[in-house]
Amino acid sequence: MTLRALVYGDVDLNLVDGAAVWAQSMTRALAAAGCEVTLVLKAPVTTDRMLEPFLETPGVTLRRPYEEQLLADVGPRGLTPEQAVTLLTRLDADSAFDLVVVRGRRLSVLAAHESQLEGRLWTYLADIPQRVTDLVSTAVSELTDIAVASRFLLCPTGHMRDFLESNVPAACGKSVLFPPVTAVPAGVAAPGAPGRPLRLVYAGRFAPRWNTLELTELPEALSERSIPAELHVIGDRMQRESPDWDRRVTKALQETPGVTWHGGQSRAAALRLASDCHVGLAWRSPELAAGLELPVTVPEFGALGLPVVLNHTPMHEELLGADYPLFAGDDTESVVDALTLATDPRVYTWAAQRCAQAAEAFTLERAAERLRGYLGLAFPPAPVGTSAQRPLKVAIAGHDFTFFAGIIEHLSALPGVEVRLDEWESLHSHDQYRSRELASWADVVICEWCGPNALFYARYKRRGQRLLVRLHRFELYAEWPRKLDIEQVDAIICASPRYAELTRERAEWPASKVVVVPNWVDVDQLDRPKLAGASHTLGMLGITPSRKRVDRALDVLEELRRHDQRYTLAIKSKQPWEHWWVWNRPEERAYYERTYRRIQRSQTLTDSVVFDPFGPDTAVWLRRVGFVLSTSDDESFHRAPAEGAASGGVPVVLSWPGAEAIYAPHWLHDTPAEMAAAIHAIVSEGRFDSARRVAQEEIRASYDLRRVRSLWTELIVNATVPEGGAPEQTGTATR
Amino acid sequence: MKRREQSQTEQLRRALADREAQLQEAQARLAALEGSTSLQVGRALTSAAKRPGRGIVRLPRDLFRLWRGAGESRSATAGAAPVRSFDTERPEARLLAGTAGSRDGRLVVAGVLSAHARAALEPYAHVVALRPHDTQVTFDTIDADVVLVSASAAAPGTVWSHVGDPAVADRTRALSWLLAAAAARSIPSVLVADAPAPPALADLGFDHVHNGDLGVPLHRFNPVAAPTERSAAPVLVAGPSPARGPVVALNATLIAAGLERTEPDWWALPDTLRARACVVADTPAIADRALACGARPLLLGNTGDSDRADRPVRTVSAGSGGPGAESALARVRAAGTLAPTEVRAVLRSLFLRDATPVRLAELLGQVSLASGAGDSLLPLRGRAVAVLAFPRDDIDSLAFADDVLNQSHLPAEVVVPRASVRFTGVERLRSHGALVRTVEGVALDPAPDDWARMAAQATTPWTALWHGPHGPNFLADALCAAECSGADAVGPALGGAGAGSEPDYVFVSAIQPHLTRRELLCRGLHHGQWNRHGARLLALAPLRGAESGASHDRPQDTPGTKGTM
Repeated sequence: MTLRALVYGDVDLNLVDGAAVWAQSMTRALAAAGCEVTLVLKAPVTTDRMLEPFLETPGVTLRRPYEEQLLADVGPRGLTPEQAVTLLTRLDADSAFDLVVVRGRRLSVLAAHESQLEGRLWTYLADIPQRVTDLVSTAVSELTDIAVASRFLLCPTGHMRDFLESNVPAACGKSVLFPPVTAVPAGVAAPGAPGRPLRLVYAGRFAPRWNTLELTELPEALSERSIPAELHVIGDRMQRESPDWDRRVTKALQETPGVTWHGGQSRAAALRLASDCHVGLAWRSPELAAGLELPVTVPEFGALGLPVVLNHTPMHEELLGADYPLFAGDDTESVVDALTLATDPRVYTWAAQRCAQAAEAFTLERAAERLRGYLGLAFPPAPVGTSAQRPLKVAIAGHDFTFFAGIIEHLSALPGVEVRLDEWESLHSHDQYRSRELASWADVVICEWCGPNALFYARYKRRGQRLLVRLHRFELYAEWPRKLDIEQVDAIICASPRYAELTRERAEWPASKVVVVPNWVDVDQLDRPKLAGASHTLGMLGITPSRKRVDRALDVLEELRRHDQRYTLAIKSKQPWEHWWVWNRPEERAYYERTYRRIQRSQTLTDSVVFDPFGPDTAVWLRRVGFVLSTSDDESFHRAPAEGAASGGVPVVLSWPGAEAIYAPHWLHDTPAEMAAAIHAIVSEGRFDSARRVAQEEIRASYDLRRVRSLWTELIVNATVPEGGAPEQTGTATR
Repeated sequence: MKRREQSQTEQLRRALADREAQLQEAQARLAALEGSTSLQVGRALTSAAKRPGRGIVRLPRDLFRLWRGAGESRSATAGAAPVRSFDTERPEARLLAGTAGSRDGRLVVAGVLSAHARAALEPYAHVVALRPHDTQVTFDTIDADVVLVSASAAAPGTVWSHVGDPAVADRTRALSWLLAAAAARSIPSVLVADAPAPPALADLGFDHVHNGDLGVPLHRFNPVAAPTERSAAPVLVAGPSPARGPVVALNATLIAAGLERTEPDWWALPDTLRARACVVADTPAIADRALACGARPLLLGNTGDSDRADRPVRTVSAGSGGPGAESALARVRAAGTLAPTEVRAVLRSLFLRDATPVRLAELLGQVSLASGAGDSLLPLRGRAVAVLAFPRDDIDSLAFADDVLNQSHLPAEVVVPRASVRFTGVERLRSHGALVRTVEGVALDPAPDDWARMAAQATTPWTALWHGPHGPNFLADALCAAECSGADAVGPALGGAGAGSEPDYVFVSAIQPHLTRRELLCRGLHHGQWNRHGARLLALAPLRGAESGASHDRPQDTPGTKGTM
């Protein structure tokens, strides 16, 4: 089935800038990923230099609202966001698109409020607040609305994704990357060595924060160092700052010796011009460099084989390496320093190679590959055994879906499966009418938690219906399992073999009813580059209740800091007093008061333990962590070390009972001292990178979300018990 | 439903914080109300009315229970909630407590600092280190003079690692809150850009951004107890900022030629520098620290810094290329470790212009301190010195006045016997605005008790004992030596192999005191016994002849001391 995509950016395609290049790239990448794409233009067409590529791309349809008179009362400067959303919903109503890709903050907010588009929006975020101080509550609220209504939030850089997830909880799990896309014509390449005069090239908009005036001073500054140089400038987009600045920059571009202004060019022509130069420039003012977007010219110049002089920022360092030689500081002198260095042929070649390597991640093929992955997630194929005409009806009941959300999202997207949720207000409180209705409607009922919800659905189970109950450690020692009529249950699902065994023993249920389906980790979401110093940062995710034994983590940290004071411990958790069921127990309270006082009264721990706020932004948080600790007395699975490994860290697990069935023996240790010794050995022997690669591969093979989703799908649709789960099949559901 | 919840959560989170105090009060009132028998009786009646069957049956039992428990309920409530004697809910209550404030008159710094920045500040300021998770609760309860953030705190290995980076927005939010809270209380905030940091850090709204470090902390970087034999092999010491542009090439050339490169931990840097005769530095900050430790530096890529013209720093320009750098290194190596006179001059220069308290005072001069927080010279108060002198006649007093008025670090006070007060030199000091204190009944040929009485009249932490003219750097050198060493007294060594034979900047058992802590002098002990009473005595011989004159070609004064006379 060919998917149909509608694309609109609040972008004037008559001007050559990053936004116009995005519209071009997104449309071409979607077409390359196999979609039929309809691109709606914002403004009347005055030049077709940015539309050229579409004329030869199969599967792309251009809609020109002005020329086709699709809307009345349109202004001369293009559609307003309100008009654009009206048009998009109308086109969507006519053609029923599978996905609607939009760009522009105001437009996205309006689109998010259109219920017709909800869940099908793929929103590209660029013009959002990019500083913590700008994220006022209104902005957060708008971004939350956008996130909730969108299937995906497309982020141009990993930094943008991190920032968004850290500040907008609803964006977590929905934010994916769509970096700039290069489009270098075949056979176009830079000379590969510095020349005399040194030809510099800049392409982009003209504005004070883009350092346009400062760039025009470079040829003269270089000549003072006896380096003859020329600056070639491409572009025609003048950001209207002030008449005086406009005059000055125009004069500088037209009259400065050594500066050649080529005006606006098509993308291909601009790249051909750049390929005649020696060094690309992407140096901006500090406040602009602090932003979260990557100038598209950086990978484009890199793809041409040009080294690029650019600001030294964490994002650029991540892209090109901390040792990239052509980073510049805030002042023009630092740019001249970098350009001087670029005249050394060895440095030039090194820098050009580094830029070219970085550019490989920005090709059209890579963009299409990414989009194919996202399309696969959003539109999975129908499972064998289902039919679109008679979908399998699945009800999922529970008071907290935190640990099941990844599966619910997948089941809801499956063609041939219809999912309805019975969201209980608490363990005991629910809408009985709704629950009774779902009990009689569903072919399969899944109870998340073996609590009163499971007792209810066992009581009202109808003939031919299948009842699956997911049991956690929390319920095992409660009274509900004993009250559950196991005859009515088709399968009890546990996350680990040890807890399956404990469940069989404690509840005295037939072994065949107890099945193991492991917890999952979303490796694709968690796999992000580590921040500098992660190899010396330990992490704990969740330290309540006391059986998590954060005191042992402190033992590990103290031991490590005897060797190296760079070790720190980051803890991401709710505080114990935020859980009434913990804080009301005197022994729990005493434990935490003792432990927290220990931190405050030790200089070593005070300087090295940090409590980071609780939240769903685990993937971002794990970027700072190299070793994820599991120091519990007891766990059923403990997802945190697995998430740490998936993120590219190393799991360090105290051998709690059953841990050996979940984690490989080389991550298990008997005492905190052994944990510390293992960590320090990995770091001091330079094995951090190799260890984390091994851990990630192990986790991907065993607990990757894709694999566990397929196990659940098989269990629900075909009643297929995973290998090593339970010995018998429990029969198929009657629809 | 989820969508609505998520959207509202974001908006309400902020509003809820503001309402928390009101809610607590409301909860307390509600608890009191719920505890009242009247309400419970009402509830029992309502409940019975709602469920006529079972409710009516239970009503008499419920009412009996309430009647019986009414007295207990009142007494339990009174015991559980003691009445507050003062309204401490308001944040301004910190002004009453002065929690974690300074009791010794030092500057109070609320700091987001790296370990080495904190170590640099600690002798000169009372530092309250903030952590991301306790910033709010701690800052709300302290009375700070200034919020100081060092960019080096964003480096790996601290609890503020990567603050400003988009991947660490949680810590950035905590810092942003701190700056907003400080601004609301008129407490200035300063970013010290002493290391590379995410660019967003400087964009958070500081009152002042200082591009540089906190100066040279002389208590860490000094030649005190340096090994007598330093390693002659030079070493390249990398600074906190990565080398840039052509310096990278110079570094590479020298390393290829066999130069050792090291990147010591911050706490090990002083010992690394003290152990070497010469050091290659790629930042001026490392060069200054090497000088303070007595090592001769070669600074790469820096040619035009006039501030360092009076210091024995050889530089290699970016354009010199590899051969130029190698020959410069050979010359530095041949020159060897700094000569004692060079060490003295370098330390003086650093003490007067680039030491941490001086830099701190400069930073405070760039911002407006809150009312009552003192002035920008607060960090220099620890250097205040009173000169005690016993001029015998007009000639003696004129020599004394000349010596005092020519000091590169001027004293805060002068203390003389009452008998000397009419001498011309003393009058001259007064006419220059000097604060002259007098002491009745001390002999002009002073005994320890006389010095003690003079010192008791002074109000400064340090006292200088004037025995005769010692040149314009007498006070600066002595105070600098004290700042370097933490000694209780400074002066030429006595006894040992021969009087004055001890090298400078080493601790000894006896000195002829030139500078002492005031409290030590006030004890009236003979200086030969000071070490037996636990005093730490540092040897520093007076300079002679040309050495004692100004060895620099630009005026040097401790900021804020010129003009007090």
